[in-house]
Amino acid sequence: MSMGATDELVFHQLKKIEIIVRGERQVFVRDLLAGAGLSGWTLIRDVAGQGHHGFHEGRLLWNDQASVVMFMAVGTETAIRRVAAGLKPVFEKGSGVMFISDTHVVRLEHFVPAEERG
Amino acid sequence: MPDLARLAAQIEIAAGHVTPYWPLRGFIAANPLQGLEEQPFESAVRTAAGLFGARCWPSAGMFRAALAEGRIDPAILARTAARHGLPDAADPAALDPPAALPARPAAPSAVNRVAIRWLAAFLDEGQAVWPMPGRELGLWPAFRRIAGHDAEIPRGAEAMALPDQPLPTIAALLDGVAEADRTVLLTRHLAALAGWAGFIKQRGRDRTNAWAQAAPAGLADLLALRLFLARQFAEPVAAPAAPPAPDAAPIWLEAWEETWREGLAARLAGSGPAPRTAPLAQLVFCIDVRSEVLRRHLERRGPWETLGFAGFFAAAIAVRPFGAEAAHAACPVLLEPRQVVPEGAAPGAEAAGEKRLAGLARLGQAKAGLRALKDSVAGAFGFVEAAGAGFGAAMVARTVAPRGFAAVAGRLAARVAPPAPTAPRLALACDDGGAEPTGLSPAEQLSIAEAALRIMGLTSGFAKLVVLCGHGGRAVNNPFAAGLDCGACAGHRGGPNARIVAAILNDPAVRQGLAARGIAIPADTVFLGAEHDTTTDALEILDPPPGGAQAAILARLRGDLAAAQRGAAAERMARLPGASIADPVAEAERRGADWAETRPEWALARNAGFIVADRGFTQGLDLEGRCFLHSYDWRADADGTALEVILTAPMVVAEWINTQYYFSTVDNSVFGAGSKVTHSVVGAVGVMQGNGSDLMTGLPAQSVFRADGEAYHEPLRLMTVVRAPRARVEAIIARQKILRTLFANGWVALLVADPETGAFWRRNRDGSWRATVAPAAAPLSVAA
Amino acid sequence: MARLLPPLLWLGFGLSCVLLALRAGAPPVDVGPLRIDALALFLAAAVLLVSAVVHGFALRHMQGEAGQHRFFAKLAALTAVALGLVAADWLPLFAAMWLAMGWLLADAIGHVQGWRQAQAAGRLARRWFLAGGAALVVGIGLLGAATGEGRISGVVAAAAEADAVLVGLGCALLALAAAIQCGVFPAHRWLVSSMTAPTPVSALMHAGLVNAGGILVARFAPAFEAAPAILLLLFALGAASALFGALAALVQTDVKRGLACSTTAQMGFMLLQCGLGFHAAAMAHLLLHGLYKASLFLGAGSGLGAARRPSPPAAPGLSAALPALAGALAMGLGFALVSGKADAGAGMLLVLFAALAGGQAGLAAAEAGRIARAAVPALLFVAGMFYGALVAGIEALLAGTPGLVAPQPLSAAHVLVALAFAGAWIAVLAGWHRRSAALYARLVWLSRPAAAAISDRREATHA
Repeated sequence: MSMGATDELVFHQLKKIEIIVRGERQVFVRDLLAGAGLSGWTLIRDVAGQGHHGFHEGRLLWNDQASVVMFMAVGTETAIRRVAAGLKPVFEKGSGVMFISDTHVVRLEHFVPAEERG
Repeated sequence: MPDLARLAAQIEIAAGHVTPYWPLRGFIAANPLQGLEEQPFESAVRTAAGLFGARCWPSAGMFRAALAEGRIDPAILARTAARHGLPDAADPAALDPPAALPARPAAPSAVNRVAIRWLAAFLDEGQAVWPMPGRELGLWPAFRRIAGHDAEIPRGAEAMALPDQPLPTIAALLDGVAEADRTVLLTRHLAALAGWAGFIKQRGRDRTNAWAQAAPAGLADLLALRLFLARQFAEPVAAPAAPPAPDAAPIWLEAWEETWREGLAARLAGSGPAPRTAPLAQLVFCIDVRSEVLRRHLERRGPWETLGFAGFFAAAIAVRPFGAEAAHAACPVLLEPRQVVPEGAAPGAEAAGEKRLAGLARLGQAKAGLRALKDSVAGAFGFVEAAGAGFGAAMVARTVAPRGFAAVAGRLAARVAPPAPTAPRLALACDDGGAEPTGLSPAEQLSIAEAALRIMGLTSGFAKLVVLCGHGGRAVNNPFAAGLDCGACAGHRGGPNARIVAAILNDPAVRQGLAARGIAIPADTVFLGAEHDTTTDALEILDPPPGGAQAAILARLRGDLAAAQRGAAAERMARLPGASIADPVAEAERRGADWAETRPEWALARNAGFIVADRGFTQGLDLEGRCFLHSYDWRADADGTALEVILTAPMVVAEWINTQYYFSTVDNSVFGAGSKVTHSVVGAVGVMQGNGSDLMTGLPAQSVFRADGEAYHEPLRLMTVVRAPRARVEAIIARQKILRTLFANGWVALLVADPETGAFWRRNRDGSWRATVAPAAAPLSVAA
Repeated sequence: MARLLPPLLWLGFGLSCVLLALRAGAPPVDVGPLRIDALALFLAAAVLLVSAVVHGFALRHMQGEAGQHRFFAKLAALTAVALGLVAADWLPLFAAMWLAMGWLLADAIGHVQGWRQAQAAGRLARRWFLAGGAALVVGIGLLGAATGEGRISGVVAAAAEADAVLVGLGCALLALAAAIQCGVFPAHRWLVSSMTAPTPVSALMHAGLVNAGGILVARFAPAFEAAPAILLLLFALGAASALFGALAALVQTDVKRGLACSTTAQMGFMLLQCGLGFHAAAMAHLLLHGLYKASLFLGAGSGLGAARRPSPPAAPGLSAALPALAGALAMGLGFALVSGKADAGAGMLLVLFAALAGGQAGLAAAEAGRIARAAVPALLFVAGMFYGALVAGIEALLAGTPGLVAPQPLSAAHVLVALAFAGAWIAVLAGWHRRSAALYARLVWLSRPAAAAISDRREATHA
């Protein structure tokens, strides 16, 4: 897994998933991430409209549910696969996108539970 | 594992058809077809009819009555029928169902029956003295442990052989069901008791709900429970048979709507701008349709300008009332409250505040003691005998003299806990005992102030006195009492929000900040928080009265408010069945205090329009309490920011309210709560019918029917009227998917009154526009 | 038309109160098949009071409901039948009133037309009432045959000398009819399935019509006293129902069903009082519980209450024992002093129930401040005296009707029941019951409404 070490710094290769969904799906995505064993993630609120109709910075809206949020999570390929398997049917029925990419982390123990690290 | 993730996704998709249900503590309107708004109205109601076994169009009787009363214009009806290529549909005979109505098939469902028993037990929020054991484990695990003790479940102990987690249980129970059929099966299971399912959906989303943590439940738990029961009883989950809908129904509904809409457009076009004199005071009311009546009566009486604005006054907060244990959200449910603002004793009244808190604590103890005596296994017998006479005396008084009883009870309560002046504690503080700081930072205060003023279009021309009026209703012995309160405050009274925002706008630092952003509030302008009692039309000023020039203005205002109250109450009492109109204010007060009353007021019944315009556009028109009025100054909003907010939030809330009224009227059993006279409150969260039923969502029959079979609410879909340049509105619709969904699918109609050209434009569902009524009141051709 | 009813009923209530005051000690007057005595006047006043309130409430509450004429006709007819029942002396008239009452009540439970579950609940109640009515008719027949009398007054006067087996059998059948009418355990299924009735009907039912069971026993009191075994049976049945109803009420999440369980308990307590020979005290209970329960039913819409927190109640610590004991002593003593029940055989049991209420109130006071804590025993002493005075006063009012105060000697069964209640009280306070999921599920199961009376499909709630 390691990419090479200098100064004791080890890059561990993992998968990253970025999920862009309507605010009303937040709970589902949280539960899905938790179910896949990903207890940590980043949430960016109010990415509303981005990518479709330009960038609406600072536009005040009173509707959280119609706004769009982005989740970022990092984990093993197995865990990310689980998340993607749950998202795929939902995205087929409604709106939402996900991006999966390779990424590297330094502190592996923050992203992968001990029993899976072996 | 990926299988379980896919299963979770299938549940999420099925859950899309479940409309969340909020406990009646704070009444939240919701479109019962929320999950189907992505579809055109006609196909959405077809789906819903099949899913819930519901009638989704007004009945033939309602249409005929509307035609007979002139609420459907025969000419418009004929024109609409012709345009749809069904000229025969205008004949009332076309409304008769094609064949004799088959009785609604209703094979008894043991699955539903047993599910109701355990859902009511598990989801209880403090009604039962002895709650269901094992609730902390979650719904499925708790049910799994008790199923063996339920004598009605044939082999209940088999539940223990299933996994303790809901998803693996569902996977096991769905074994043998083809992948393609799963979502349909799960959807039907969730739709079978849509009220209980909706409550589970709502509390699962609300991470701050203490009950949801003490007794966690998700829709997966519900499905595990139901699939287990379905297997036990070998009961297939069949789609209920949908009542037939005649092809003429959509045409008649459209004709009914167009009759009202064209009439409104003609009147709007015909009303000239009122001559404007500088007002002595400005009063900002909630957009609620009930505000219109009082506003109209007040404006007639003096130099008062009124505005309309979402009743949370742009403060997306939670409020903790003085003496309350917990805070409650006080903003539209579209928003998560960002901060908590507690109410405290007013400066200088700390001693009185302490006294009130002590009194409230004593009252609380007395109530808890009384409850313990009622519930005592051995003490209740002696208690009932010793206290029976007292209960009897109160019962007689409440029935014979409801107003007198309310007055005496109020005085007694004030004796124990004397009222104390309170004030919102705006400043950020950490002394509230909680882990989170309370209050609002200066930046947050400034942002609320600016948003409120800009969106309501009040950025100049301030009067010396500006009164922000929240609102709340009044009802006793009524589980739906919160339904009379402010929807923009999450079904709570709006007074606290009005006071908070008035205090913000009076703050010198905030005013300085506003001036820097181009809004100069004169130094001698005072903001006051007030509350409009929609049941009695009394308007109570909550903030301490100001001195100086404002004192005289306020005195005159109070006089005109009293006169306006009499006028508004007289107008409203005339519409309520069984109301004595000799003394309308006394009758209104009686209705708000009478424990036998099922219709304290009509609330938002008959709502049909949402008008976004300056008051000059509607002034002088009697809108009969049927329109939401949102102030909007098109001149001060060139980039459409304010309009975008108004259309994506207040209008969306108005659409939820409008659709809730529509569906509660067209099928009160399925989408409404049924008659109040056979309700039983369950779990301190809602009501069931009779001996137990689905959790009854929507509005009770008494809120939409004047009498059995005689609808008071007219089930018309909302028409939004915007006074702004058409291009600006078009640009906003193009930006906001939610608006395209609502307008294109026929959930909301749109009329744009372009102030630059004076033209009135109706938006067609396909996005094209058609010119509509000119000032000459005669309907023009409606070629699409 | 319906608007005229409340004033008429209030007038009737006033009239019966005046007559009761004037004729408290006077001998009964026979008017054809009726007998106007203190008990009849007292019960008529109780019926008219509750009925007047319920009519007044319903006039506003039922505004706009379908079938209002039918509804008020039923309500008025039920009132008239109840009045006939309390005054009937001629045995066939009493039986006819009893049967008519059951018929009308079942009809009122199924009042909402086109609601399948309401019809089912009405049918269930009708079946129970027909069974109770049959028991009553046969029981009355046996008593009539045994004594050779055709009037209640004659039967009860001759019961002591009549054939003991026939009297015993007759009383047993009357006890059965009373138990069904009262909805006591295990004949409570119709009662917990009756919430399809509009709220005002429930109020009238729980405040008035279920009490007919107690009225039946009180009317035939001397006959029952001639059959002490049946009285003991009634006592045992009442005690079982009181305990069951009180425990079942703990698990209810639905306000109206909780009230129904409480009625099952309270009616059990009334029969327990009858079983002790304190029929007049049972009549006091009937009135006071009626007022209490009617008030709670009419106010059932208030059940949402304030938001509650999910923390389980803490079991009161030992420090609460003293205020509880003081409360119990104060209230029990106050009650005993004024009512004189401590000296009258099994009357000790009534003192115990007063004391238990005092104990519960004392516990509540333990939470309060120091001053309140000190004042509470004094207040409870006064409350006990008030309660005792009510019972003694009603006993005095009814003194003209024979056999209403005939205390049974204290027996082992009585002591056992006393211990059971005290034990249950302490067990529930300590929270021991919470350990048994099986007991919880059993109570939920036993207090369930009939399957056919549950609205299991929303689309079929109201057709």
